[in-house]
Amino acid sequence: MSSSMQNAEENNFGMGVSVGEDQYLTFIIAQEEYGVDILRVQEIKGWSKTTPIPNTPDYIKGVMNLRGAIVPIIDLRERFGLPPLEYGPMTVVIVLSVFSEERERLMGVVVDAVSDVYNVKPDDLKPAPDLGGKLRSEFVKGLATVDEKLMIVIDIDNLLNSDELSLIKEANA
Amino acid sequence: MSIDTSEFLDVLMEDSLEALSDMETSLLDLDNGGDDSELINTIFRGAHSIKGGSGMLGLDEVAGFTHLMETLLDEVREGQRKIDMPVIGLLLECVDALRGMFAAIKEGVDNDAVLIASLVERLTATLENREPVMAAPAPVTVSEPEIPKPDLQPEVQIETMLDEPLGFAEAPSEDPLLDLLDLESAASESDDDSTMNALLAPPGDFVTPGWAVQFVPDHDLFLNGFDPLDFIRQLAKLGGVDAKSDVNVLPGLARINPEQCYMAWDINVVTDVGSDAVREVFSPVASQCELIIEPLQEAHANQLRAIIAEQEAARKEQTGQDAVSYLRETVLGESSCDAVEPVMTAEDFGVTEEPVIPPADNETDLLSAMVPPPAEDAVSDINDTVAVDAGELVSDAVDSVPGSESLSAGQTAPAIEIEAPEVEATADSNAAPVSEVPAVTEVPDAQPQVKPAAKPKSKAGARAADRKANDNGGSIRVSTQKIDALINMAGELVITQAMLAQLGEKLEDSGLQEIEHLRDGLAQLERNSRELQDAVMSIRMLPISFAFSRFPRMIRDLATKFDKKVRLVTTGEQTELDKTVMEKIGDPLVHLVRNSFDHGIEMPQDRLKAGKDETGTIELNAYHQGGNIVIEVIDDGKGLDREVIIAKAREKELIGPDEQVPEDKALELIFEPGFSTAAQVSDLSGRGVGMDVVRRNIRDLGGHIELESEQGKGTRFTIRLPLTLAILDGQLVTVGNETFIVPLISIVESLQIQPEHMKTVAGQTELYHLRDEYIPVVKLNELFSIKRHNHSGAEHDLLVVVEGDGKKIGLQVDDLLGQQQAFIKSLETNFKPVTGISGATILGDGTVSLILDAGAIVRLSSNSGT
Repeated sequence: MSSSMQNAEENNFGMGVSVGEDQYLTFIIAQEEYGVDILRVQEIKGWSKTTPIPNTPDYIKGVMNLRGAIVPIIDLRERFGLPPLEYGPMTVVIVLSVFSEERERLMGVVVDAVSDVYNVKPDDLKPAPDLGGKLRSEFVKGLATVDEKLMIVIDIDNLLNSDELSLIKEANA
Repeated sequence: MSIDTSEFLDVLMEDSLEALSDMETSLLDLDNGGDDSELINTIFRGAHSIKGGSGMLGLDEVAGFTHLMETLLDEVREGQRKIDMPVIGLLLECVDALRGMFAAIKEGVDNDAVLIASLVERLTATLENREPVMAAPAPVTVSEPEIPKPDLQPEVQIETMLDEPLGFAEAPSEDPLLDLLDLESAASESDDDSTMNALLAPPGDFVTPGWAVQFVPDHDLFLNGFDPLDFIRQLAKLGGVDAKSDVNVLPGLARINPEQCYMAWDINVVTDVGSDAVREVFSPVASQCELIIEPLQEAHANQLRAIIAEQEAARKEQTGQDAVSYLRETVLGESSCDAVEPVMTAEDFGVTEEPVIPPADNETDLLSAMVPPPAEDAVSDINDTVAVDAGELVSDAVDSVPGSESLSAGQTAPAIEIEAPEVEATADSNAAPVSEVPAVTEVPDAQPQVKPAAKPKSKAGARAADRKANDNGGSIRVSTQKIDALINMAGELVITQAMLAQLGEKLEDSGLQEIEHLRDGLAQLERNSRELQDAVMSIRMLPISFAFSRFPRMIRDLATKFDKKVRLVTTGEQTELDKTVMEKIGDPLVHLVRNSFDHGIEMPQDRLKAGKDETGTIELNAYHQGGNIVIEVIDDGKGLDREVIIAKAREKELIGPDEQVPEDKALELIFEPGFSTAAQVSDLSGRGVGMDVVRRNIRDLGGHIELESEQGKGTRFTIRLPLTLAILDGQLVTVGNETFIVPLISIVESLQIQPEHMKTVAGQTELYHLRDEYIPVVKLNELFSIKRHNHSGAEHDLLVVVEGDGKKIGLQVDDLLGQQQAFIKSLETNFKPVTGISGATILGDGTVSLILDAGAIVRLSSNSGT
C-alpha cells in the first residue's frame, strides 16, 4: 500500500507539479466536480458486482475482491442523498486509502465519472461556507476555482468514516 | 580477536530452554521410576550443554550454577549418589531457577540473587553431604568461577572451575595458526617465536633464505587427478623441504569422503630460488588452491637446514612412505618433549568414548589432537591407517563439541573463539570421563555440522536475519521433511503449469480435440495445488505435546503440595494443530487440568474409602476427528454434583429461585460467569478466572467444549477445535442471489423443510419440530434483508441446523451448494465487524462470500425474539 503511495508521489513529480501545489483528482457527481487528494487514490477501476453486506446502509454497496483484499464499496451519490444511477459498463470505482482509527484502509467509491487532475496552491483552497443540506461542511475541506469551475475538495477521511464509525459504535454498544 | 556474542545468545537461549524442558521431563520420569541411567544421562547432557553454551558466551552465573548441578548429576551418574526425591526436587527447582536466569538475561534485568544463592548453597550442601546453611548462604560468586571468555586465556579459569586440578592444562595458544607453528617448531626444535616470525613477519629487505609456503588445496583436488605429494616432491627439487600437514578439517570416519582432499600443508623450503619459482611448482593447481608464499627467516632457515638434512636421511630409509607417516614421526618427536598442548586439544574434542587415554596410544591421540573443529580448509594425503585411527576418535568427538553448530555458523576467523568451548569440554571430560553428547540435536540448516566454514559470512548473515525474524512474530522449527515435500510439490505445480501452457498453444493450432488433455491437466493442477496448500498449512502445525508438556510438572508439584496422589496419562501427543490455536488453548487447558486436580481428584484416604485406587488419574487425550482436533481432559475423581451446582447457581442468582434446570443442562451452569463450586478459594482455582473464561476462549477459537460427569466416577471435558484459524471447511448456502458460507464445525444437520413441522409461536417466532426438539428458525433473508426473486416457497427451502453458544437454531436457506475450504479474510481490515458475519472469503469465481458466525446469529435471533 505504501509502495503504491510512493508511486503516486513519483508520478506526482513526473507530471511536473510545481513546488507548493497539491494535485487533486476530480470526479463528477450530478454535474458537480469533486476533488480528492491524488496521493490517496490507489486505483481507478470499472464497476464489478459486489457482495452486499447485511444490515448496512444502502449507500454501502458491499465488498469487492481487489486482488485478494476485501474492499468495501460506497456509492457517493447515495451517500450525498442523491437518487442512485443505474450501474453500467461506464460506472467507475475510485479506490482510495482512508485513514481511520490510526490505520489505513482501502475503500472504493462509486462516482458518475472521473474528470481531471488539477494543481491547486494551498492558498487557493478557500474554506467552505456552511452548506446546509446533505453535504455537511465538515466533509468539505475547501473550495477551489479551477478554470472558472468550482471544485469541491472533500475530506475523505471524514466523509467515509463518519457514518461507518458511528455504526461501529452502535455495534459495540 | 573478539566476536559479537549477542548473535549467538538467541540460539543459546532456544537451545537451553529446550534442554531445560528435556531435563524437566527426564526428572519427572525419574520421579515416576523411569529407567535411571538413560534419564540421568539426558539430564546431565542438558546441564552440560547449558554450561558449555553459557560459558562460551560469558554468562558466568549460569555456567557456574549449571556446573554445580552437573557435579551433582555426575555423582549420581557414577553411582556415588542415589537420586531420591529431595535431589529430584532440588534439581527441578534448579531447572526453574535457570529458566528464571535466562528470562532475566533476555529482559536484561538482574537475577533473583537470593533464590540463586540459596539454591547454590543447597547444591553445595548436598554435594558435601551436609545440611544447607540457609542463614548465611555462600556467596554466589564463590561457587561460580569465571568462565573463560573468548578473548581470555581460558586455562586459568579452568583451574578454578574444577574441583580437582587439571593434570595437563597449560596455556593454549591464542591462534590456531600458532598451534600449527608450535607443532612445526617442535619438529624443528626451534623456539616458537622464531617460527612465528618466519610466517607472520612481513617480508623484509633481506635476501630470503627460503620460503614458507602455505598450500590449501580445494577439496576436489583428487578428482582433477592431482596428488599433493607431487608438489612437495617438486618443491624438494628446489631445496630442503620441511612439510607439515594440517588436518584441521578432517571429518570423522563416518563422514569422510575418500575422494575428497581435506588437508592443507605448511611447507618450509630452504632454497635460493625466487618466490616465482616456488609458485611455478603449484601452477597446475593455481586455480584450485590457496597459496601463500612468504620469506623464511634466516635463523629459522638455518635450524631447518640441519633438521632437513636429518629428515632427508630418514626419508631415504623409508622410501615410499608418504608425508603423513612423516608427520607422525614429527609429532611423536614433539610429544616426547612437549606434549601438553596437543593433548589439550585432543581433550577438547571430548574423546568421549575413551575415558582414559592409554599412554601407549599416544601417537593416535596426538594425531586426533591435531584435528580441531571446523577451521580453515585443510588437506593432506593422510596415510590410510592413520586416517582410521584419527577418524574413529574424531568422528564422535567433533560432534560433541558444545556449540559447534553455532561456531561453524558464525565463524569468520577460526581463532580463539573456539578455545572457550574446547576448554570447557576438556574440563568436563576430565571431571567426568563418560560419554557426553551436548544437545546439538536439531540443526536448523540441513548442512552437516562439521564442515569447513566455507562461507562463514553469509551464514552469519543468515543467522542475523533469523534473529531479526525472531524479533517479530516468533519462529517455528520446521522439519526438513515438510519443507522437502513443499519443494517437490511446488516443482510439480510448475510442471503442470508448463504442461497446460503447452496445451494452450496446441489448442490454438488444432482446434478443440485436445480438450480432454486440458481437463486432465486441470485435474492434476487442482490436485497439486491442494497438496501444496496442505503442505504449506502443515508448516504452521505443531504436535500438541507442546501444550501438554507442562502438565507432568504441574501435576507433580500440585500433588506434592496437596498430598494427593495423581497419575497423569497423556495420549495423542503427536496430534498436530495450528501454532496459533496451540498458543490460545494452553491457558484453558491449564485451567481444566487444575480444576480436575483441585475439584475432581479426592484425597487418597477418601479415594480408598470410596473403593478406588488411592492414586487418581488425570487423562489428557488428543486426536483428530473430521477436520477438527478433539482434546479430552478426563479425571476419575468425585465427579460433579448436580444438586450442589444448582444450589450454587441459585445462590449466585444465575438462575431464578424456582427455575427448574433439566438434568443435562445443570452441568453447563459451571460455565456461567461468576460460578465457582470450590467451597474454599484454593491456591489453584477459584481466583475469579472461571470456567466461563475457558469456554469463551474456546469459542473465540471457533470451537466448543462439552462436559460429562458421573458422580463418584469422574468428569470428562471434551474440547473440539478447528485445526487452524486460517482456513475453515464451509458449506456454501444460497439465499436469494447471495452465497454464504456456514462453517462445517457449527453445522449439526441439514434437512428439507417439511411445512407441517413448522410451528408458529405468538404468530411470529417460528419453531421447527425436529424429532423431539423445537428449534427456532432464522430466516436468513429476513435477518440479512435479502430480496428473494422468484422464490418458490418455503416448502422448497432447506433448514441448516447450526449450533452456536450451546444453542441450536435452524437457518432457513434457499439451497445448499458444495462444501469448500475457505481462506478466512477479515472484514475489519478495510471495513468493520459486521454482526452475524465472522469474515469473508473469495470464491473460485473471484467474488466475495461472507462467512456466517453461528454463535452471533444465535445471539441475534434470541435478542430479536425478546
